[in-house]
Amino acid sequence: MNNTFNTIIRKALVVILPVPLLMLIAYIAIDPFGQLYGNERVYRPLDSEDDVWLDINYSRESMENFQRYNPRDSFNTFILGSSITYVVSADELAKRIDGARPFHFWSPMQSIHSLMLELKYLESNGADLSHVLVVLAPNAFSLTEPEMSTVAILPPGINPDMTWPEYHWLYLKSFYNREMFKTYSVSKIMGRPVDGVSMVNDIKRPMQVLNPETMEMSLYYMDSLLRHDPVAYSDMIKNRIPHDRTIHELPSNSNADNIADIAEIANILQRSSDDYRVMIAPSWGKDVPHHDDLAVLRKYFGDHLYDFSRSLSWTADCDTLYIDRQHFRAPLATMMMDSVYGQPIF
Amino acid sequence: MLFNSAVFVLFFALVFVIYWRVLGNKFRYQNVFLLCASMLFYGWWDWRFLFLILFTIATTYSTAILAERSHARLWTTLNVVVNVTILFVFKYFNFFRENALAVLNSLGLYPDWFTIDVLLPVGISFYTFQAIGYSIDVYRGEIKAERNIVSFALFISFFPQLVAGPIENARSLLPQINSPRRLDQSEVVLGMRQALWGLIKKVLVADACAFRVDEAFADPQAVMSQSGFRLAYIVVLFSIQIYCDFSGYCDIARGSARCLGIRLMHNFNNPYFSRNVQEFWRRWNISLMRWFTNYIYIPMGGSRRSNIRTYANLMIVFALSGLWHGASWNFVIWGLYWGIIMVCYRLWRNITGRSKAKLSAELPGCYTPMMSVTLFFALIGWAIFRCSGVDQVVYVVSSITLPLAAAIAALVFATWLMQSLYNNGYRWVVRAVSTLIIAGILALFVINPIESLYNIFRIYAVAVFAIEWYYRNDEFTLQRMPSNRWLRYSLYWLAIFMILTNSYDDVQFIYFQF
Repeated sequence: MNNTFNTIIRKALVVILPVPLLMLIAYIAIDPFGQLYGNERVYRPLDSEDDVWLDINYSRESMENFQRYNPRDSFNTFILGSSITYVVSADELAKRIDGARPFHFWSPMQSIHSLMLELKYLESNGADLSHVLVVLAPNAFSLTEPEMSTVAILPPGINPDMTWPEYHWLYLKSFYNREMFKTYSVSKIMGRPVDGVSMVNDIKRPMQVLNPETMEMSLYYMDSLLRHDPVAYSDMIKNRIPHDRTIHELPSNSNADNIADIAEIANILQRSSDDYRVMIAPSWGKDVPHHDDLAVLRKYFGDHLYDFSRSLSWTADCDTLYIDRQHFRAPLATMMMDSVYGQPIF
Repeated sequence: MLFNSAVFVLFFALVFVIYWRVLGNKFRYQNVFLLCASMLFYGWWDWRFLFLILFTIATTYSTAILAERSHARLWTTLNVVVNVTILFVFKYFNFFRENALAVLNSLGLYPDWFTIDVLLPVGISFYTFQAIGYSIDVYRGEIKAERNIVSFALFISFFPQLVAGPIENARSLLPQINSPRRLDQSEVVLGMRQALWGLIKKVLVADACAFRVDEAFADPQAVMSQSGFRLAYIVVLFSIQIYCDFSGYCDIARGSARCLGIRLMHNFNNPYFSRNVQEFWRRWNISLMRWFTNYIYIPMGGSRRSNIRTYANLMIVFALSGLWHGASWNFVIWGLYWGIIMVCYRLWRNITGRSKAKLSAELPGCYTPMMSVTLFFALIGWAIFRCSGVDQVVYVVSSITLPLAAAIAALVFATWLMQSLYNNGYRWVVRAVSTLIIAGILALFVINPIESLYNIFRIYAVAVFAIEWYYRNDEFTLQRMPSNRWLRYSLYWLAIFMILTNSYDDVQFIYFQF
């Protein structure tokens, strides 16, 4: 019996173990998402010349940056929000607040829940939340799945429901999904990325490694398209929104979870901050939060809430104020800050 | 705990080691251990489900013993009623409530009824049927009531077949549980191969199809605006998905049970290669159809009474089989549809006077067209099965019938043509044309003009069916492997690599919801 058992176990190990073991070793050696070693990979700049362009996890980047630089700089001013805050400049905000030491803590596809978790993280890590600017997208209420892509997985430091092994397991699975692994391997062999169309390396669906040229046409490089092919830009951005649209009220999503999260955000801000402001950004698609959702925000934030989503004069100018349907450009960010904080004092 | 998850692999490895290494020579301890493992496996979904299965075990165990002593009919009826009531409350109450309410509302009555807001316990239909079957077998005197509570509880809750079958017969499973098992290396190897094949079907084919089918059916409005060709393609994908999903599950279940020294029954026997609808139902979900035959169809008279009575029995059995799959009108329609098809098939057989043997012998060279005609009826059935709501059923079936009927008309013509050729001695022509038709259909499926031109999962799907065709006379696919060790190991490693790189999400098995 024992001999048979030992033989079976030995054979089973020879059959089953080599492949997952090799895959694990390869992942650890390559660290494709820059999640395993060295903060340098996490801090990899957006315009990296890396031959295979893999998007980084901005939530983790924000967390690592905060942990690294807060002891030195003692930040007291925070900008929080989703990818739309990419152009909300910490320097511009600093010009409007006396003694501000600003830090931009952002994570793409941010839901109300992940915003609450980030604020909790900052509070529990002793951040000085004297000044806080929260920028909400009109659809913030409907974003409920912050962990849907590798750029937006909340790291365990922020998300108490996730452990580091679970976090790395998600990346490991993402790397070895068929399309991802295939295009990554081919691009490594060829020395350049293969064609791909996806924005991010999604962990739930097979996606391909990004091609910088494709990326150039997407989110942050829309300017390039506007310069080189205004007609295509117009088709892609402008013509998707009906010209006669006035306001597009999004469906209500004031469920119990969202309301509890909003209440917790308001609690943290009232407890820790002398000066907090919450603004809802206008979108080119003229999307506005449902009036029920807006009522919830007003109830908890009161006069601290600035709703720009209905500022239709801003949404009329697509080319200079917007990148796409949701994402605005720096001049609009400055105009909103002027409206909330007044003109620069420095 | 899904079979296609890392947790199950670890769980099974642990069970295997303790079962054979620690408790190897003591089968009663092995049974206790397997029972605990089964409870852990089932409680992994929701520990509250355990109360329900323990209740079923307790009532079925005690009523069977009582039935053996006296008042057999009373105790058996009581147990059947209790189990059916549990099933009704958890699975069907809200469905009947909604429909009764709709009828009463239309009559101007508005009763204030309550809704039972509970989760449907995983696999409840499978283990309830297994328990009812056991009760009836004891009542009929076909088996003796099991006195050992551990053995009986393990019979109901044996984890490889607990949540999606096969619905085992007590005569087959209980004796295995009550006798010592011997660790046999060749049996373990065969079990692992079978489980590996099941995983291949589930992960490489079923999940990839599920992704596309679910996407197509996600928006009910969008379904109603799709073309017939597109819907026909989606229905074909669903037919592949449901087969690879369910038979994949059964392969994993049988394979893992085999590793533990227990043989489970065959639940699928290449159903899509059937030559008529009756054969299809003898090859699809064999254990469920056997259950309906033994405990519903034959007691009602089966086919021994008049023709009309036989047709009525068939309709009842298939309607119940539809309802067994789920509390929804589309499942009822699906059951009735199959009932009508089976009645029509019997009518045709009776009118033309063709016996089964004659039918098989009549068209030996026309396997492909007959298979395709059967597949056509199966596809229409799967369309009904996948839809939600009567409106959707009507739209989808009416949309896909024309493209599929055109294909079937061509095949019927081909059948006639080939039969003529066959009868005139051109047997090689028949074989060549059949092969060409198969190759053409497969090529059209792989190089698909409806979806993207090329997608690897369609090649996997074709490969899976080709391999199953190759192994069709064996007990299970991959039973025979190359004798060269390195070639064999390389194939294992390739399969494991493909499974790991395709399992980006743990997708639920379809039949878990039943």
